[in-house]
Amino acid sequence: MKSYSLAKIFLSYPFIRGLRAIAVVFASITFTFFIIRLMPGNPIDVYINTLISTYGLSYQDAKAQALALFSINLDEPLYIQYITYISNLFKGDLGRSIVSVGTPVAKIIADFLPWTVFTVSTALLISFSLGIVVGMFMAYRRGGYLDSILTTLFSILSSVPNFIVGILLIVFLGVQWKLVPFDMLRGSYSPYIKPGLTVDFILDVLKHAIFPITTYVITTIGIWTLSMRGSTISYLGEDYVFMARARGLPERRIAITYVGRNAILPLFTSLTISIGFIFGGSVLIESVFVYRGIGLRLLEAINSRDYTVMQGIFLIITIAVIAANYIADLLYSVLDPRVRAGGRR
Amino acid sequence: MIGGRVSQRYSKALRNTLRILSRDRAGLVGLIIVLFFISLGTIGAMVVNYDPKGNPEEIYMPPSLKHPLGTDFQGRDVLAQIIYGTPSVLQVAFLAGALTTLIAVLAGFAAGFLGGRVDATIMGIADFILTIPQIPLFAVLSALIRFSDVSFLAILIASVSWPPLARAIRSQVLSIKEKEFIEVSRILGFNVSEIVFIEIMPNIMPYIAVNLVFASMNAIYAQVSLAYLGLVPFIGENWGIMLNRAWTFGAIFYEKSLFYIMAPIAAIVILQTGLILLSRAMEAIFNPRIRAE
Amino acid sequence: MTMANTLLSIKGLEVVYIAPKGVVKALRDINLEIYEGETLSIVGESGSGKTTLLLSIMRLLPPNSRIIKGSIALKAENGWIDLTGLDENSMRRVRWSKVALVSQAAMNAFNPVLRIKDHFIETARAHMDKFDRELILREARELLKLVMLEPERVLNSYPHQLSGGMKQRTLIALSLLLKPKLILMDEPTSALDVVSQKIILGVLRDLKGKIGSTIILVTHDLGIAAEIADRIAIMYAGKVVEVGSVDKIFYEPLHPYTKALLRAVPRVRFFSEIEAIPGEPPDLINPPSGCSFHPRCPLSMEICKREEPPMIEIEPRRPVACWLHAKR
Repeated sequence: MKSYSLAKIFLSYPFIRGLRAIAVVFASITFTFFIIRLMPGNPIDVYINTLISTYGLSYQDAKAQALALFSINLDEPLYIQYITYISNLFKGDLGRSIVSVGTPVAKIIADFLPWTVFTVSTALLISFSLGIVVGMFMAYRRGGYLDSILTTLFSILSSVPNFIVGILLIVFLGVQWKLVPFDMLRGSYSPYIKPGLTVDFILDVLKHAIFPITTYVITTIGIWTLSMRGSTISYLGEDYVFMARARGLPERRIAITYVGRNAILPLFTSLTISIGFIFGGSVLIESVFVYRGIGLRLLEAINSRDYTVMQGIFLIITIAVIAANYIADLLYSVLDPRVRAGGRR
Repeated sequence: MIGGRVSQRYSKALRNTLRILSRDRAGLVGLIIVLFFISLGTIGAMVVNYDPKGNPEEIYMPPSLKHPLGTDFQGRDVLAQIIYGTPSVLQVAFLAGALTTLIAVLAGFAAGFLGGRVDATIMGIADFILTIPQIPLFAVLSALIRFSDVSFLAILIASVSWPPLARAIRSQVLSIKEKEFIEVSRILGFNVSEIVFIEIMPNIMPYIAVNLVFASMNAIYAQVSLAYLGLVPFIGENWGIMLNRAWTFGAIFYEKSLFYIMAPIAAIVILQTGLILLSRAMEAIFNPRIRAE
Repeated sequence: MTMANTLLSIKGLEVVYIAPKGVVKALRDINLEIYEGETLSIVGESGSGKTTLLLSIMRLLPPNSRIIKGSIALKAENGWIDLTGLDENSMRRVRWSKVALVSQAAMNAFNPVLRIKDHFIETARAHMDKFDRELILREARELLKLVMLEPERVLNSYPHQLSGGMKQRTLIALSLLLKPKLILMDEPTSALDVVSQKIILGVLRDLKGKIGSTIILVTHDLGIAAEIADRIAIMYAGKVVEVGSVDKIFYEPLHPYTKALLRAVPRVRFFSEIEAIPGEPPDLINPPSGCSFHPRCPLSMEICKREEPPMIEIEPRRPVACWLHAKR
């Protein structure tokens, strides 16, 4: 009895996909490590040289400072540096900022990451939900006037780069038609409001977040609508849909449980790509709206050559994408019973 | 004998393509747009006169005969900037697109044909690359690597764009490998390369063509984004750089600079739309089921 | 056979499909009476219209087809219902509760994301305002036992966990849930391997005795018809050409097409020549003039080319549409 239930846990879909996710996380950590270490113009050496030439430190002192900031000891062989790096990561130590000297990278990330996660997840949810509803609607009315217009509209919408949508929102809503005071909406909340669980604060946060979220939604909704439309059209022809009608089931039930729930499944592959795209896009969109999330912070780190922060944020963004994909994976297994027993899709 | 059959197959495909393009209006529009930009980038760039110094007396002028799209914050002609920016946009787009396709075809074929460990390794790398978000990666790399060459940017973009196409090619190769007519071809004495060119390639052409377009679109997005962020200053008069300048010099928040902002945006959107229409037409060409709708 | 009452009366039914190449006359003037409690098998080639006939009764024709003439009258508690005249809402309530369809697509007849028991429950819910979940599940268990399946295992399974034969039997059980008066079966065994076929036929034969429903079983296989049916109706090119009891059809076939079909079936007990029917199935956009079988009929006469033979009852409940028998 006991061994059976253990096997059930270890062979279950969530566990297997979880292992896979962890493997990819390790690959990303390794990748990030080597990017910093092995790139020509190795930032650590550059930093050390800068310290020596600009501040007149001795090589020993410069190296010690680098060690403190990067959490990498250049003396040790490469593989030891790698292991140290990983064990530090597990302790939550991502090094310290070079520019804001001494501030732990982990703290910087903790300050900025939640804002990005908030906007990106909200946007993904809205975009996906709206997308599948509109997509199904278009599929049921296909060939019609509305369908062709919407298809063309969404095709064009998908070809507009995300930050351009943001710029257009600012230019037209803010500058040309003067409807929205964008200069008041910089940052993730207004400087004069005290953070806390008050209605005022929450409303303020929403005010600041609404345009980044809208931009994400506008940019990604086209893909969902068009894929859902295509998927629904092909699933409308399934035998079990026909049989559901033969059994006298009401059309609404058929649309939701027979067509809808099955048509959604193929869309999960695009969900993976969308998640990566939207997190990556935060770099652009947060810069357009000056929204103080992790994307903007990454840009600041890049412009100030703050290598430790760059490395930390890049790693966190990648891990966030992997985590989000894992959640999507689990959601998929809940929706598709065929996948639960084997661990393969 | 083989040459005749091959050219027969390919010319038939070409004739089909042209026939369908002539009926599919959206695809035709897409093709015209792309050709327009290509000519803009080749002939236009040679013909047009552009003075980068600008004219302080002509700052932010509205469109006129002399400056059909107005001028920018330094009095430089906007239309000329667009035209001058076209070659670099197209260069990176098509170079990255071609490289992506090349890598993807090689990887997909190797994975599909050779199978086993090769397959597992290649697909493992592909899956990993798919997980890394592109823009942050490019942004970080631009800080670490000192590159000042447009082709390097194209290589960079290609090195992370190949996985999706490689997957598609691999599954095509796998499914065709199983088919009986490959066995028959082998028995009849055709060697591997003949089988590849006569049987497999025509079936894969659709994916390659469509993916070439998608890869170019992705490359345009990547380079314009990086240029806008100011991370690739060497790229010249790229449309993205125009937006970067607009941002840095406050043009976004200035009422009268509308044309200066809209011109590169329009160029980007129109080109991308043209490419997407072209890709949908190509999908319809190669997939008769969609055509029937 | 005692004089049973008519359950379903089809008169003058004409159905067309609108195809890119033209208008396909799938059903041309169908007249058929189906009696309570009997098992009628409709036999014909592909394209003869047999599936279209079933779809017309269920009003589940594809969007590009129309019933242009005729009536399909179903006997109800208080009189007759013309199924062709019902609006969609009323027809939805008729489906499965009065007329059920077991199609040949049993492989894919169930929603992959729902368990089998959910299928039973939602079918009941769609037709009853108040229903007792436990009662329905008990019913379902009984029905599954009737088709030789393990009730608990099947009810808790997802469709992908069942084999083809099991799904076909489950579908039959499901079709009995609301105790419909009429069960339509479209090639219930064609998609299965021989062993499953035998099991299903056994199940059907059993059911015939136990339940009171009337069954219309469509097949291209005379052998199956012989095993299960009481009466057989032969269809050709969208028309019914001959109807009779199983014995009469097999031992005293009247229509040349029926005779040709019988000759095309190999016999097990003695060696006989199998003869294919010469010619091709007719083009239903432009059917042949007169009797549509005449191009392939060895006994065709002048009148066959000119005029369509009327359906005439040689004996009571023994109609034939052939000039050979109409002269009498």
